[in-house]
Amino acid sequence: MLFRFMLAVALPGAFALSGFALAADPLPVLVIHGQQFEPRELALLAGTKLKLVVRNRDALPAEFESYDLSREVLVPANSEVTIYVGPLEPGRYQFFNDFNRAMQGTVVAKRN
Amino acid sequence: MKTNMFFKIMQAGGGRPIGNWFAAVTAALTVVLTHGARADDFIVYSPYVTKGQNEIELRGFTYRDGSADTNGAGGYELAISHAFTSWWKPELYLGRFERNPGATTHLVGYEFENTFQLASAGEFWADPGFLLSYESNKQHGTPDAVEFGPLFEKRSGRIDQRLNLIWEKQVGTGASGKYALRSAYSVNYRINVKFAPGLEAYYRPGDNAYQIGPFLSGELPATAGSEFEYSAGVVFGVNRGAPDQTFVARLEYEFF
Repeated sequence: MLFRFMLAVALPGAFALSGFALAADPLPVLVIHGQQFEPRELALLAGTKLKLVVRNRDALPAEFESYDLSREVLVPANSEVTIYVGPLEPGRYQFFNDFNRAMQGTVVAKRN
Repeated sequence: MKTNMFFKIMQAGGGRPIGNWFAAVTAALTVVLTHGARADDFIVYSPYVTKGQNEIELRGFTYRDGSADTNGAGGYELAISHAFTSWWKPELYLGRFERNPGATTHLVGYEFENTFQLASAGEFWADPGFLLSYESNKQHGTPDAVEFGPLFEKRSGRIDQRLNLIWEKQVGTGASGKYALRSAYSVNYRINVKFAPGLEAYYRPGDNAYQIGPFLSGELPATAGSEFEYSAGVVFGVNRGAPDQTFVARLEYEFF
């Protein structure tokens, strides 16, 4: 009986904790700041679909674009958008700001 | 002062002169508008919404056909929009105008259109959205209408595809009980930001009209964060119910 009670308490607790841990996992973030991408090389896990935050801290809108990643998304000034990328094969994937082509960066997808 | 601002816009985008492109698109639009029916039939909507973005849009079409009843007919419309959130963009059509062959252009109505982005880019195989609009018709005996349906967009490298499935239901006095489906599809290949050649196809079983043809579209950067988007093309009727040729032009200014 005690075992069942402990199980009944422990299982939801374990789920709650695992959920908390998942929620606390930081999403990869690509920051636009000072007319540059930070980091310029963003390492991502290959083989899985990932949520990526593109955060624009500049006072100008940016257009995150990548033919390699098949994405094009406008990021207003001082705001952020969320996109999904992948699953990616291991390799390098170029991206740029379509409003300022001098701003370029690379996603580097690696296996664990 | 106005001249300086115009010059700045024309020269923006890293000093790249876009005046020639702008002039070419404006000329195409002018040809279409002066020859001009339902202008909203010739658009393939994108499901994407960008919070805070404003748009001014002008689009039109004109028919060339062997039948005198159709040849020279056309229409155009002017719309403004503002995206209040990252998922909702209402758009107000300030006027929808039509011209029948040999007649003058006249106002046919207004429209309130809403685009909803339903998922983040890349979340699903294709990015989904939804269109919901209300058309207020000003012509005597023509009922108002509600339009709704899903929008899809899929990017694959430089290739961009869109698919719309839209149902129209008349409402009010004299309304038909039917739901009329129309579908639109586009595919283009982005050579660079200014040039994306492709195809557009329109399927309107309610009008017994099926059309397909080549289009050229692109983006012309203006001042930082704003841009002109153009598209122009011709769709050919593939059945007898459709006009032989329909010339279409669209010009949109997007800014924050």
